[in-house]
Amino acid sequence: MDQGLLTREGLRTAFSAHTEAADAGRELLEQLGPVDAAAVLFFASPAIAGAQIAATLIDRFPGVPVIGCTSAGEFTERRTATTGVSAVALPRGIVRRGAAALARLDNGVEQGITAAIAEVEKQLQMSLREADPARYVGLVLIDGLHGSEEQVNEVLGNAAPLFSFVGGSAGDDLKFVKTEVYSGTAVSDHGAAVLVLDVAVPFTIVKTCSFEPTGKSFTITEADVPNRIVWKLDGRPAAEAYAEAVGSPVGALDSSVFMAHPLGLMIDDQPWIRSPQQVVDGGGMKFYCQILPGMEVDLMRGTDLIGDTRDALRDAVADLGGAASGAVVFNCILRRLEIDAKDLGDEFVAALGGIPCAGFHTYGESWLGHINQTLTAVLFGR
Amino acid sequence: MVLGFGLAGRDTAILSASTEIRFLVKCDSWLGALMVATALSSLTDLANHLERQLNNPASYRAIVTRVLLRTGVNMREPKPTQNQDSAMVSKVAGTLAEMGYRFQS
Repeated sequence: MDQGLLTREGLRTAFSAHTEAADAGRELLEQLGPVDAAAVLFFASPAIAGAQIAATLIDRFPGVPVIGCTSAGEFTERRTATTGVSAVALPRGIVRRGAAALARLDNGVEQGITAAIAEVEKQLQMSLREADPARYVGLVLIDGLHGSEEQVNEVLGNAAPLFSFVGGSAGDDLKFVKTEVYSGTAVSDHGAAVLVLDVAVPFTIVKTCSFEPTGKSFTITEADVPNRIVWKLDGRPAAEAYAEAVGSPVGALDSSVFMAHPLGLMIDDQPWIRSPQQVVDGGGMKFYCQILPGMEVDLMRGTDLIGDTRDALRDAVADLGGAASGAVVFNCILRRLEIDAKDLGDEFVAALGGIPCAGFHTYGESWLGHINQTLTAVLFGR
Repeated sequence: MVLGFGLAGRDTAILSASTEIRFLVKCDSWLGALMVATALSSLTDLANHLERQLNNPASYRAIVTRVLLRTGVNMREPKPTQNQDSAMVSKVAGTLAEMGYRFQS
């Protein structure tokens, strides 16, 4: 991106490949530099003690909300990697103030999220429902292994339906054992970190994926919604109908087929992706996202991940008047696996266009609901 | 005086004599809610009333998207088989009510 498109004071971003939290924290602070931050986020490999990273940032930015989570890879506008940590400080010139809380979901999603919203509203002394959605935006980091994302997004949406919460699900470098979210000194492996920002500049939400409809569509005729299993498509065993549509035997359905051919719920000609995870006993298919009976979904095929990402960010910058001060970005792990498989890491970073940003590779993305194989972001103008 | 019943959640508020303008707006919404109570027999009706209440294209898009993600029903372009299906209309009305937009169907 042309340097002229950037503001003088962009978001401050940092990356460390150190696996010792003390070393990583020190390097992050060096790169963040002398910034008057209104909020700070970090995204850490599970190989790093995330709580210690949080403590380092809290010590450096007293009184400032700090949230973070474990990841399945981390990136900034300069590099993407695994087993490291990325961070971003939001300067007060861009964000007036922020408020954060940790929702503990062990006793129910509704109870946990409602309590977190109440805590954020108390800090801000305002109702999120009444907040101007053009001035305030939320970020949400949800633990990635309890399958609570749909309900978290619904409860957030019920509380403040016009308000955007953008985010991602915490990862653990594909081990699928434990993910963590952090808010201040609080940690949870079954929770969500919620951050609300009072933004001083224009901003926009980015949602991009790299798929187009094949022309084949299905109606979900039987599903186990809470477990994200689709049993029947068009009245037929889901795996059988899907395999036929992609031209593959059921026995040959694997992650490479699923990644290339997810299902898309089309809204205004834009796909909201639901990615298959595996074939389950009984002929059903488990997804990374809920799909409801009666939904009509399209079989998708891949396009140009790098080009589409670059174009989406470029369009978003144009929407902001041609100037971006930075972004917080959430990129699906399945997109990272495609990037890895095609050795496109450098191209992915280049597609970020030099916009100061930090983000992580997620176990799911959030905006208005739960999505798969998508990049979501909050892009700040100037 | 509380005029919460029958209003969208975002409009529920304790009214006082010092909030005359807001009172008028609330009354308008309240009467509107009563007026539509017998008229909402289709998804199109629901969509039209929601659009009028929100009076903001971006807000309307956001709510329609939330509804679609939660129900699979596109209020703006419902299938002919869905549009006047009372179960479908109730389902969407219930989802809107969860978000504080209460229309009776």
